[in-house]
Amino acid sequence: MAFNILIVDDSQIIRKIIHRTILMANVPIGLLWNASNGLEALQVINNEWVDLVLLDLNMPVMTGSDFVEKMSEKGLIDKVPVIVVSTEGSESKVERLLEKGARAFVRKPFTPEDIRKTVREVLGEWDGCEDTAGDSF
Amino acid sequence: MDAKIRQETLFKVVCEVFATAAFAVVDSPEEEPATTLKDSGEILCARLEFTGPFCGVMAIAAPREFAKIVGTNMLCLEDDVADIFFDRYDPLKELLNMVCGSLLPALAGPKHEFAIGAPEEVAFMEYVKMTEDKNDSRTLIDLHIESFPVELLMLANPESIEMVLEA
Repeated sequence: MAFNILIVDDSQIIRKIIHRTILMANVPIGLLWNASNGLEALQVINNEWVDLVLLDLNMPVMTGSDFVEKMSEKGLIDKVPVIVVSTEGSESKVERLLEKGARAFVRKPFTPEDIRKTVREVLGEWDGCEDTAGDSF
Repeated sequence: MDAKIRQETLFKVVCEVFATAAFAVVDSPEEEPATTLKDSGEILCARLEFTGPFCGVMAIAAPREFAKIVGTNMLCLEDDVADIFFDRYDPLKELLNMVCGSLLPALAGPKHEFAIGAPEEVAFMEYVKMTEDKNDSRTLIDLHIESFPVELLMLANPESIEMVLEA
C-alpha cells in the first residue's frame, strides 16, 4: 500500500526536508503534492485522494488554522489525517487544533525522528515500516 | 524582565534552533569575531510581525554565504549544488520563524497566544533603520555562527511587553 501525501508549507526548504524525512522513514509514497498555503491545499483536497496532510500554520493567503477549519466544515477532517508541523508555541492554540480534528502536532524545529514517529503513529503500520533508517537520521 | 534576561533568552533560543534545524553552532561570545556584518559582502535580511499579549517585529541579518550554508545543512546537501535547491532567503526566513515561535512562549509563558505573521525579505537599509529604534524593549544580539556574523533583533511595544513580562 502506498500513501498519497500533501505537504503544506510556505517554505520550499521545509517542504523538501519533510519530503526527505518521509522517504528516509520508508513511508511508501504514492502521489506527493506540495502546497504553499491553505488555499492551494484545499484545491488539492477537493480534487485528489489524499491519505495524509502535513500542515504548517503561519502561511500567507490562508493559514493552517483556517485550512483545518475549512476541512472541519466540509466534514473532511475525520477522513484525512492532518499532522500540524509548526513553530507554534501556544498550548491553547495547539489544543484547539487537536479538538478541531488535527491528529498530531510536531513542533519546529523538529528532528527527522519526530516526523517519522508521528507519521507512523498516525498512519499505523505499513509493509516495511520497521526497516527505517532511524540510526542515520 | 530586564533587557539582559531577554537577550539571554534570545541567545539560548537561537543556539537551540540553529543547532537542531541547521546543524550550525553558535560561536562562544568570547571568541574574537573574524568579520563584521558590514564587511561581509551581500547581506540578506528577513523580518516578521507578531501580535498577541505584546506586539512587535523580529528580524535577522546575515551574509548570503551563511544563508547558503545553513540551507545546505538543513537539506543535508553537498554545498556545491545547494544554491539551486532553494530560494536564497528561505533558510533565514524559516529559521527566524522558528526562533520567534520558540522565543515568545519562552518570554511570556506557553499559556499566552501569539499570531506570528509570514516572514518576508527586507532590504539591508530597512533592517539598519529597525536596529536604530532605541526603545527600551529593543533586543539585539550580535552573534557569530559557524564564524559568520549574524544579527537578530526583536522590537516590541514597550508598554505591553513590560506588562506581560512583569505579570
